[in-house]
Amino acid sequence: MRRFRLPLIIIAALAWVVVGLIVARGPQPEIIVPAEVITKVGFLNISNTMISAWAAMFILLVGCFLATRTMKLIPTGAQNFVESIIEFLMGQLEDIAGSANARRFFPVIATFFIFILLANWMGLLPFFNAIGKTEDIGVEIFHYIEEHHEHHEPFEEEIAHSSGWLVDNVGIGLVLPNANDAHFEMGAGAANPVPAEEALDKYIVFLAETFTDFEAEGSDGHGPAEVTPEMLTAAVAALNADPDAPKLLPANEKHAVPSAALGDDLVVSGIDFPGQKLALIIPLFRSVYSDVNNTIALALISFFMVEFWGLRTLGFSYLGKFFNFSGFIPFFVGILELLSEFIRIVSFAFRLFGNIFAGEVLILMLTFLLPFLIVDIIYGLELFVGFIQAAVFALLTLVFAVMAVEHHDEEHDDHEGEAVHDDMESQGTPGQ
Amino acid sequence: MGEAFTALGINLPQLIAQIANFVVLLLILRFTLYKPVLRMLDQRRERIAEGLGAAEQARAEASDAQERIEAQLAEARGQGQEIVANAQQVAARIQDEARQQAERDREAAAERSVQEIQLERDRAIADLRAEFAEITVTAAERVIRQSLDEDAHQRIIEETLAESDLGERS
Repeated sequence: MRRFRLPLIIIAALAWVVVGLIVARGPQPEIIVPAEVITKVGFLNISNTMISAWAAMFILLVGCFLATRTMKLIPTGAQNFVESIIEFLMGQLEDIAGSANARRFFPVIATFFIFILLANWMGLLPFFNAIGKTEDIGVEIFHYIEEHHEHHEPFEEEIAHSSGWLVDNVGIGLVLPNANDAHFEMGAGAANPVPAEEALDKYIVFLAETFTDFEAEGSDGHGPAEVTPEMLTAAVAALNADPDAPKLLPANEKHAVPSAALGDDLVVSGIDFPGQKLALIIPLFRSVYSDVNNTIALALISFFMVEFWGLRTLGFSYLGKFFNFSGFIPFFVGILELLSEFIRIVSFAFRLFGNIFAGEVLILMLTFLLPFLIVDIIYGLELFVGFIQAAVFALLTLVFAVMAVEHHDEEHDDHEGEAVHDDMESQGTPGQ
Repeated sequence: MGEAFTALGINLPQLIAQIANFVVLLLILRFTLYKPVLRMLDQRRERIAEGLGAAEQARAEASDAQERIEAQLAEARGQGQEIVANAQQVAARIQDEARQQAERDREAAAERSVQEIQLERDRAIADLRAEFAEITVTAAERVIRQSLDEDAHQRIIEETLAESDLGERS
């Protein structure tokens, strides 16, 4: 029996993967780098990462309130849990920064760690990147075409490629298994701009191909390279024949885009989707730090806190590290120090963003390719990455803070930390 | 640069909003989490240190008391031994005295008995002598029952007796 165990496990795993492919394979995910905007309040875009950040904050605040509402000398339950975390963090800080500095740095460093960790781990919850409002790509493409027509601008590089999923006509959507995706290519490029009217013809043919049985010659399903009048007429006929297919709305006073192939015989003012829509589901929740804004915000706070602590402790002598006029080389080193101080912001921001965004894309793509089993491994990996990134962010801020509040000398190296510095001090560096 | 910003979705209002979010979170956590928890941890550390100090003190006190008790015990033991030794001495002396007294008594008794015996003997001798003289007189009377008066007889006997050992010895 033992002999068969391993092959059996492998067969079961493969079967599971196949079941996943059949049952849970979604449409190809659209990787969008900027956080999607859910709604706007005044000048502020409420993006899905912002909503996730608020959710994480809310959980933290409620949790902390409940855990510390009745503090007892002999801890129980939640208080125990919270205390163990705080004590662990405090211990780490005291090891690195010493007792007095640890107290000062603690709130900021601990908040960095706790909030980043919670946000990263929350990003792995199943409803992240899955539930959202539908964004009508089909209508949006037409709006772009109309805009370009009105300004008499041919399509160059932007919106050369649009993708959407065929989803049911709902406001809040869920990415469904076995949904179809559709990609519309205008075939435009800077060298070969496509006029708005030609783009409309291509779009109509694309819609006919996507929503009906219509097949165009020389098309790969992403829109034909060249649209002939006959092809366009057939496509319009096919769209009109199917009641569930998108309908071209006739021209009115406000909106009118003529076709390139048929001229004034076909003027469109809009497209209506009575059945399925060509839309993307914009997730309501997206991992907080898969948005550059949020990581830059944290990096800026980290930067300002480090400089603040440095100035507070050393006074104006802190600036002597950067503006050293005792010679050409010290001056140059000082300028480099100053630069590195600002480069930290970028490295802080993009380290966190890169890790979390890449993890999110990896999970999305793997879920699309092999929905079951393999993704679980990546989830485990992402748990680890989320923790490491939180720890790295907090620890680096701490180390920079410790370096900033130390008494610097010009030979001090950024990367060697306090040990080297202490050595130098104890040896009494000559020439000081 | 601007294009890169758009591609990454960097926009200032959201950046500021996130900074504000973080600051708010920091402040609230400071008051709902860090302060109470750290205070509690400090308080507990203090209490434990206090408890340990008290325990240490109690232990020291206990060992102190133990020492004192042991010293007292040793003293008491010494005193007891001394008392016993004294008692033994007294007992020995009493015994000795008793023995000596007994000795003396015995000797006195012996002496007394010797005296008594001597007295008795003397008396017995005297009696015997008297009786013997009487018997002798009686005998001589019987023998010579004539002219000799009683006084002459008595004198002769006395003389006789004086010549004999019996008279000398008394």
